[in-house]
Amino acid sequence: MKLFLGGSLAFYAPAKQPNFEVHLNTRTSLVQVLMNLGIPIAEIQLTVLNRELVNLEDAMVSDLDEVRLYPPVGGG
Amino acid sequence: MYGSNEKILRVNLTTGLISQEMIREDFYRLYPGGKSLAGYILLNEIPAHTEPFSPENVLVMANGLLTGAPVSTATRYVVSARSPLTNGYGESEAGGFWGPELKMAGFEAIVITGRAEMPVYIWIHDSQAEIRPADHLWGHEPAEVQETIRTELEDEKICVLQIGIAGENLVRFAGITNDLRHFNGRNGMGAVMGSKNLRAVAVRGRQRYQVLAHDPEALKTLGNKLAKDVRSNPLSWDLQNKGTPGLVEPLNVAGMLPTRNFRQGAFEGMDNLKWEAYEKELLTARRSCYACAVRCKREVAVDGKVSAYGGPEYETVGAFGPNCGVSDLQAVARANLLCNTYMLDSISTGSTIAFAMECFEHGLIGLDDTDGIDLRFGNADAMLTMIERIAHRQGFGDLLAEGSRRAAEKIGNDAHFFAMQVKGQELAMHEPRGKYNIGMGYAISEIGADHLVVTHDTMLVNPESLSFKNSQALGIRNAQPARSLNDEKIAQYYILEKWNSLEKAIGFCFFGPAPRSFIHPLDVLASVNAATGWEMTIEEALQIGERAINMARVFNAREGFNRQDDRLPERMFQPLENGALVDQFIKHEEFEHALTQLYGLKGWNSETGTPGRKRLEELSLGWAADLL
Repeated sequence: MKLFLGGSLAFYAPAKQPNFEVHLNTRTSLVQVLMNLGIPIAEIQLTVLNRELVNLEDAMVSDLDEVRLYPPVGGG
Repeated sequence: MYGSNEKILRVNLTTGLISQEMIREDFYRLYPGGKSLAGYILLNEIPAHTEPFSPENVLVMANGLLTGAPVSTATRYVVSARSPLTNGYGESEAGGFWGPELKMAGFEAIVITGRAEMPVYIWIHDSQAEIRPADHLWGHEPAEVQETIRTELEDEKICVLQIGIAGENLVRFAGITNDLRHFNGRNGMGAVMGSKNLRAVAVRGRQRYQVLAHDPEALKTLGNKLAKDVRSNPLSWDLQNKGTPGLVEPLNVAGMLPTRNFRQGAFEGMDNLKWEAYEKELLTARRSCYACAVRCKREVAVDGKVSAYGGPEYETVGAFGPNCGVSDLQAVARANLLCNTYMLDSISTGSTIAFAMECFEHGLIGLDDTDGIDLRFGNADAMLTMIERIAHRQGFGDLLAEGSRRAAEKIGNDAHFFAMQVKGQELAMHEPRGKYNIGMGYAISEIGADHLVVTHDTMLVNPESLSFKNSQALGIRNAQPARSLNDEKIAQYYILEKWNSLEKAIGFCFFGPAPRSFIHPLDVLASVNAATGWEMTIEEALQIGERAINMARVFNAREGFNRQDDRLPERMFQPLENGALVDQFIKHEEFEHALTQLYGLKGWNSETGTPGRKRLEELSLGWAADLL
């Protein structure tokens, strides 16, 4: 699965790089994947799965999916 | 007194008289610089109904208490006067190096009155000041002016604050720059400088902040800790990495990227403008303000040439990109360069052009009005031409140089509907229909629409998030949805607005303190207390913020402002046309109810919005109540 961590979420990515891949053997909950990666769910505001905005808690993903995550934006 | 030079410099440009005034500690604890000190001076020294461009308008440049301290993001100063854009209390903050340099030169603030007969600049160094001729600087670009001043005063380290040609031409949203890269953009403070024939204020100081501090070791230790925290906090880490242009993509996904004059919330050309494109096409280096480890400033090349004026911030990308329907990043960078060369506020300039584009597309103006310019959304060449004409007040640009509210009045018909402004100042590039507190902040702010009045709602929607947890020290208890103005959220707004006002009083940047960024509120207080020896509590800090807000509010009430001026553009009560928030709008009745609730919390009259004597006295502002 291709994963992009936008904004401050990249802080939690391996080597702090926003783009990376995760290999999934079965269809699984995105929340579970992120928890395994140590990415704090509370810091995620927007989830885009295969170019569609979805609810993070409901999202199921498999190996060919593309996921983009964004934090809340505080302005300034 | 610790933490302060205890001195204000006064310059009368009519008489040429220069004097110094001492500040007492009991006064300074109530008005500890920045917004609070400027508000006190404006309210006491500008007679009611003073014409903004008259010599009687008073121009204040005031450092915050901590400006120049060795603490990341404590770099800010305010410039304040009656605003020619809003006709109300005017104010604009900037970071950079000029404020800290003024502190090192021995002054907390400069109060400038009168009007010089001929162009002048003020030269301040080591507790002294003089007025010098500036005929040879008038009409020249800021980079040339800075170089000339440094050469004639024989010091390459002089910090130069100055206006540009737009300020000389009294464009109502002309700004001020320092060191070419830092900007007091908003509220037309550059035009007030221009009206006084004051081109620049050059400063050089050699004192260090630490000699003023009560406990310099504690301040240094705290400063070192915070510099490390920048890299370990995801919010400041991201600012360091991308700067504000990193906001483009997430706001677009959220449906909150103002597009085509706020009609839409998502822009189809966003991929050309997002951070990855900026980094690839424009970025040449990262820079910082004085002693700030965040380093959010961006250096860029425009058309292959490195700019002397820094790169576009998010606000500028938003204003000239999506909001004008332009997806050409180089055109946006050129627009930024033009604004900085002429010293125009890029938010008001972009927003006023977007207003004109919508008027053009609706047939309210035509080619005969625009000097033949095809002013349609997406026409980058037309946008760039209009910036030139606004700065020089040429042709149709002369009308737009008045700002969107005045231009709408002249154009007539339904043009006012397309003017995205509050109290005459154009909205920043944040969408109120996705962040209701931002809408409330735009509406109620004493300086007109401003995005730095209150913490953005989205930071506090998740009770487990870092920013929410940090906000608890301020008294925030329960997370609230971004698109709501329920009673508890309004109570939170009241707290957060005071906290943001405090930041402007003591010299912190919006990108320093939590909940927006990395400095825990208790560390903010620790900085103040190490600098001053005071034992400031959160309660006292919030009261300082509230006091500053109320002085500005009294200033406006005296000028005739009332509840009718705390009004969002009608478009905010109509559905967004696209994006993740398509069809979303703010409900009139919800907004009006929230406004009444907020007035009640503030101790303001629910019908007029005027501060009541009781609350003013509680804030030690009984003297201000006497002015009403």
